Amino acid sequence: MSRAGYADFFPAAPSVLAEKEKKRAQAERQDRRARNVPDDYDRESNAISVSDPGHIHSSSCAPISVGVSLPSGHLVTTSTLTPTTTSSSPPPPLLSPSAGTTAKGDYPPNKLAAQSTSAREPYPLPPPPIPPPLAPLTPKGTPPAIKSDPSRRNWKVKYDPFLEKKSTTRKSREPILRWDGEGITTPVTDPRLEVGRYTDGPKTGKKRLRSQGLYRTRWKWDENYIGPGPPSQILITGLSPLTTETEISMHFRPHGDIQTLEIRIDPATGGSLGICSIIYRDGPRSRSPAHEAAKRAAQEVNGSRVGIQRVRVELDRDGLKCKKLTGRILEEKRRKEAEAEKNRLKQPLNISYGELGSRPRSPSARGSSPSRRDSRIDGRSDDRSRDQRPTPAPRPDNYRALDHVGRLPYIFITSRCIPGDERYVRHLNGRLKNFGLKDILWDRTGFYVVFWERRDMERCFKVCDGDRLFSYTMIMEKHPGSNRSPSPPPVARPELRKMGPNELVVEATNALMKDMKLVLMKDLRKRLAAPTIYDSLEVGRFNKRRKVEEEEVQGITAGSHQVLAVSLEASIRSPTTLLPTLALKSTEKLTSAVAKSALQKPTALPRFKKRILTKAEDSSTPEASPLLHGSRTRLSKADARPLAHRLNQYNSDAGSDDESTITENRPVSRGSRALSLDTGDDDSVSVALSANEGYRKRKRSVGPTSKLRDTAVSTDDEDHSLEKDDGSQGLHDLKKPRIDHPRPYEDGEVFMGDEVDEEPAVATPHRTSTTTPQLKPITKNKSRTIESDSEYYEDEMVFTKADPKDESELVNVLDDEDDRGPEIEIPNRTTLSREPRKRIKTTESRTNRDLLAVPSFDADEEKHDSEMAGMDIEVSWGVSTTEGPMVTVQDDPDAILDIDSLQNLVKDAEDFKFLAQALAAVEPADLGNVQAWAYKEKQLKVAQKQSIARSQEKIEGFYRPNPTGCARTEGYRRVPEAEKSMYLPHRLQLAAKVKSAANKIPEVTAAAVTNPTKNPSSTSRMNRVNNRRLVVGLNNQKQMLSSDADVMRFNQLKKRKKPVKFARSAIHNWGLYAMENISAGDMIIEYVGEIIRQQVADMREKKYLKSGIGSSYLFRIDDTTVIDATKAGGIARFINHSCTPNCTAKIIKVEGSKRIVIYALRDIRENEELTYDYKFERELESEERIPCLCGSSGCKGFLN
Amino acid sequence: MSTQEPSSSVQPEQADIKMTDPSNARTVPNYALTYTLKGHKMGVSSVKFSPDGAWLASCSADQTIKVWHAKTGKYEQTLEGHMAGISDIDWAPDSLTLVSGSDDKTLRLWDVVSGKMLRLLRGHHNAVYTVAFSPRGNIVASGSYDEAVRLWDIRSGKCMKTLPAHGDPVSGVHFNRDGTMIVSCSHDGLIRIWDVTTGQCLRTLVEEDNAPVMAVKFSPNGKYLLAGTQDSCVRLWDYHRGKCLKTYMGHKNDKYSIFSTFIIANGSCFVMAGSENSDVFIWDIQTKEIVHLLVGHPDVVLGVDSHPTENIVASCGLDGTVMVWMDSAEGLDE
Repeated sequence: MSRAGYADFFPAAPSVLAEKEKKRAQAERQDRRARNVPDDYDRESNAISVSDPGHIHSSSCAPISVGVSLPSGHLVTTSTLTPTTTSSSPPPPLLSPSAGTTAKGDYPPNKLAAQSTSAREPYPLPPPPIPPPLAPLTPKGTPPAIKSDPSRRNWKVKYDPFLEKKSTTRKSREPILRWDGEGITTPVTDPRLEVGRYTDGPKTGKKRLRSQGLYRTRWKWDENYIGPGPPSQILITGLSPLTTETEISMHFRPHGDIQTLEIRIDPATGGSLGICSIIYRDGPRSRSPAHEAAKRAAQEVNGSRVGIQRVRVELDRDGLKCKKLTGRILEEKRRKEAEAEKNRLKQPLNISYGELGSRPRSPSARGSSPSRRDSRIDGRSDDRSRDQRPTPAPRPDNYRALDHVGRLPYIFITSRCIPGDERYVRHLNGRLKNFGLKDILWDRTGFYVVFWERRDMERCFKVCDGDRLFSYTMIMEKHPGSNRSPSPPPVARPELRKMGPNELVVEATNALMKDMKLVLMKDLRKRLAAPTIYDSLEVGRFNKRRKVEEEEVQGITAGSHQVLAVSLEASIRSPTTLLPTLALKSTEKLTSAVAKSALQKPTALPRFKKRILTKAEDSSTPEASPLLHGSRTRLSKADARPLAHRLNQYNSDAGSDDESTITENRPVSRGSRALSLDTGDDDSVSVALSANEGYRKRKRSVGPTSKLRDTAVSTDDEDHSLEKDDGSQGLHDLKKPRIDHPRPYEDGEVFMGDEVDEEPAVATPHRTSTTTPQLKPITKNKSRTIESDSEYYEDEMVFTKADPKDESELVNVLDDEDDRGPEIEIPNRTTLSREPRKRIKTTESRTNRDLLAVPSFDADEEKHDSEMAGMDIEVSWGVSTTEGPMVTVQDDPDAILDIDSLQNLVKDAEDFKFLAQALAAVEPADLGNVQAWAYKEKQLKVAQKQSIARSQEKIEGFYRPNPTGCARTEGYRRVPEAEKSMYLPHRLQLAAKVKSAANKIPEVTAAAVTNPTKNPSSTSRMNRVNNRRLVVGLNNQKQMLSSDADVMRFNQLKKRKKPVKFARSAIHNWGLYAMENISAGDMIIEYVGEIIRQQVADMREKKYLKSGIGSSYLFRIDDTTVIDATKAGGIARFINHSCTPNCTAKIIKVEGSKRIVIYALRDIRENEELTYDYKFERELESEERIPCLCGSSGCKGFLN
Repeated sequence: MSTQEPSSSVQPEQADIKMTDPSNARTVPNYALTYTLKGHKMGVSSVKFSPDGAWLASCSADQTIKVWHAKTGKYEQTLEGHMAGISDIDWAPDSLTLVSGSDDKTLRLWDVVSGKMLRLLRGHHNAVYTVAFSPRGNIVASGSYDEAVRLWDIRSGKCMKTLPAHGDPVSGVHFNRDGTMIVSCSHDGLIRIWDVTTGQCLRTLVEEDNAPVMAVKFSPNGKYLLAGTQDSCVRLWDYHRGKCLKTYMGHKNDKYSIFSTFIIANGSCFVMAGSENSDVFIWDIQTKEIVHLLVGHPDVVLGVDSHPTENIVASCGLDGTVMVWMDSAEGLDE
């Protein structure tokens, strides 16, 4: 392999980079010499920096890596940069290309040119009335005298021949003029300041302290102001492309009359650029001049929201800023399009969602609005990239937000619930922002609330489904979108998992197993594996095999046999148990590879050979050869590839062996592009396939911790950056050079580290120790040292290979690992370079990852998994069969399988096929018009809050179906009391109370004993009453006049009837309730009714009984008198019977007539139902016994 | 029950109900069976004409509501969604919305045009027995087997008030003409009149023998109540004075909650009620005579209603059919 060829294949190799840098430095030197104009050079560099600050930035950090981090197309332009011009300077402010050369940044280039020419012209032509440049340009604050109208006052006569007495000193009779401070180099200072202690002023007097130097006068704008008028135009940036003119004007009209309002549009697409300029005009009243309006608008609206986005509003005197910005955006856009086009041409299949966030992003992309706008525009114009913050584009009629959702999980809220309108996006956002949502998209069908994680989505769904948003109900549909894609979500994060009890047991078992295996494997490795592998890696043998491999590439079918033979040979040589199976696999793989195109073949095959070759070289030549560098760099790069892409890759492998078919149904990631680039250099299919296999196997079992492994392998900081950075390619690009930097210095050592990792069998203590110190800082938060981890996993792996039945246990262990190690995250980014070898590793490692990624597996699924995992020992590697079934849909077993949930379940034709199969046995019902039926079914469900029913809608609570269908067709029936108490709410309450009371009886009594003061009498009112009663009692005793104390009492309290109310009672229809606390012995109410004779009472009772009212309102006073409260009476008649009453009825004589008065028998709390014992005669034998429903503990069961 | 109403007390009230012109011999519309609307699979519990007279809605124990063209008898729409049989329906004053009460303890509001359910009103603890729409269109009243009358706010779909009205299932609710009062009746034999805004019971009417009241309705002028009781009587009450003015008898009603209603036809007023002997009875409101008998239903007639403007009446029954009767007098008599 020639040097050049090597450089082509390993562009990132340090040697190559060094070479390149040297060349570039030379080229630069030549370049500069050729141009010989440093000014121009600077300008150009500035221009570049403006057009692409990101590049500048990256190159400023480490010029070495420019060639690596950038697409090759950019090498040419960036090579003109020197570190000196850029590294020292901060990222230049956003300037126009010529801005760097001028002092006044605000001048546009053309104006500036005019200005500068006008500045020079007066020299030879003393007082030519130069017309003022196009428009006055001074910003408002500057005093107008300095540079506005040269014809007016900016001339100063330095030498006037007429004033000069003798013209001897001057030859010219012409006056010498100075224009605009020409020739004055130093700034004008206040000459007084040169006087010592001038500012201290005189020692006495009021003006003791003098001012510091000269004041700068500022003139307020008025009609006499000769400078440029204050700006009446404002520039609004950061607008959503959707914002309409009306919307904008709504926000800006309040500040003044708008003369013109113009949204800048992309001339190519007609889409809004998110920039708008508004020119105010003077209001009808002189009080509201245009510039005031503009100023106010700029002050007040700046930073506030217009539509859904915060906008920046700035004064823009002549629309220059606007023009500049527009130009820049368009330029940027065009550049990106061109770039995209280039990429597309290079990679026709590179339409990858995997590019999510991978677009090089300028460091200034955060925060500064222009760049944000750029990205937005980019997101629209160039559909490939799902931007970090995709903003709704101007909607065509057929806009479908779903297309923009990507594969992230999302919740769909149909527009039936909330009208699909942009303004609700904001409200939704406000409502749901706590759920970690990514974005809310909307179209006519509804809203798509996109989440980064499914967990968030689930949580949001749980919490918010069916909630109200204003008067609307948010009826949500979950869509775990990513699951439908062949690859896992690009931003999947480690899912925390709860551990069940039996899992703990399993885990404990595994912990023991682990230790055992560790010991065993160490032994195996040291004594058996290491020597064998050393043998098999001998250089001489290796070269021989390489030839074999090369033949193989040409004739695959033939080659497969050879490889088989070779691997068998290797397996014979190596005593480790894994080798035979591996060899087996390799044969399978090769046979399957027969079907593949020759192009793909090499990529699918392992490339361990090269590594071994380099190792061989390494062993022979101690110093690092360029080749060596290349391989190392490549390795580290590949290792740094984020897991997400490994998963992608794995999927692609899993989906089918054929790479091209994958690229058809799946957006191709950059990885595959790199892959196809790499195919050319894959010249070696190693004979040491077995060893390679072992390597891969190890990787595979390492799966869940492959991140750890990566850090261990790559020893550079890339992984570190991955961990921190979840998506900014630009940042990554920035990082990379810095990371690369130390490489040359610690090359050899690092390489050793690599070696260790690749070949555990060769691992010697001192070597591993070289890696660990480097690892430590990187993996701060990992609970164990990486070394031990990886070692353990290696062992684990070999062990499992030997015993496939252990696989399930392994899975468990790995599960455990996953729990423990949250560091396994899949950063959302891609690296630019890809390694097919790495890819293969990835495919292997993914199996476990898959198993881990699905913690919600139930038992048999897990079993199934382990079966699958077990199978993969026999079946070939890297093929779909090795992977456990990946859960793509989380089944909702609770869902009622109606139309909605079926629709949710069936996502594609395949699902439908299965559904059809499942339902094949079912006799199809005759539905008539299916569409109409489906529509109806859906309509029927509108009542339900959820779109996917979890439970059959059913009638809650007591339900007694009527045999004839409904109550009315059933007709009259007397509802028995027992049935009533099953649904009447007040009875249900009572039942609940009784139930809880039965449980709490001991507590209650205890509380009553310990806390006797907690009685109703403890209120102040009660105290008063008690006192009064005491006094009354004393008085009564003293007087000893009245024989009937009750009468006294009644009279006293006649007007103080206790406040009571009647309400539905649990005992019987109605009851009387105390409205305040009543203490024992107090009169409550008089029982009022018609006073009738006994005979009348008997007659009425019969009548009442006949009509069904009953006789419960007849109250006997004595043998001859009865009070009938049935038809006319007070509310005391509502008092119900209780076997353990809280009141009692006393018959007292008042003014000669007997009255019935209800007294409290004990302290009664507020809202307690008043009861007394009806004291009916017991009719034990009677069939007409009235059941008692008082529910008290001492209930006798019947009233009579 | 053989209570005779004191006829003297009736006399002053006669002026309020339009007297028939004695010169016109034929005041009773000669109703003849025009359409028999079949479609319900179970007994039809209620039938109601829409206030604008365009529609006829019927609800059934088969959990559906069907809407028919009132004049042509053409089937228009089926409203489905209830999970149990429907006991009663009522029209909103705009004739676009229906409310239905079902054994599934819910009330549902339906958009008749689209057939969609608009609101689901939950809250009753047992089967909803009767519903009524306020003439103002903002409130729905419902009576249920849980012995409560509930007032529902249509806009919010929430229960505004629960009136602890009765001690037995509430068999009928009805709004008066201006929507300020509700009358409710119950199997406990009471008829109560409530103030809608305060929820206070304004008056309780109770008959001597306390027979379960099966249905109650305000008269169109809002001065009287028509109440059917289980003792096979339909009574006309003057609720201001709390007295029963007229008792219409002859039909049989001892089991079902049979609707009774007023008919205003040819300038005179009649009372119509179904019967358990499968006929529809029409009484002269003043003379209490049976002036017409609509024979056609094979089974108990549960619901009757009269067209708001035309001489059309409709009846429904356990046989699962709705029958529309139209005045065929013009053609026949002359």
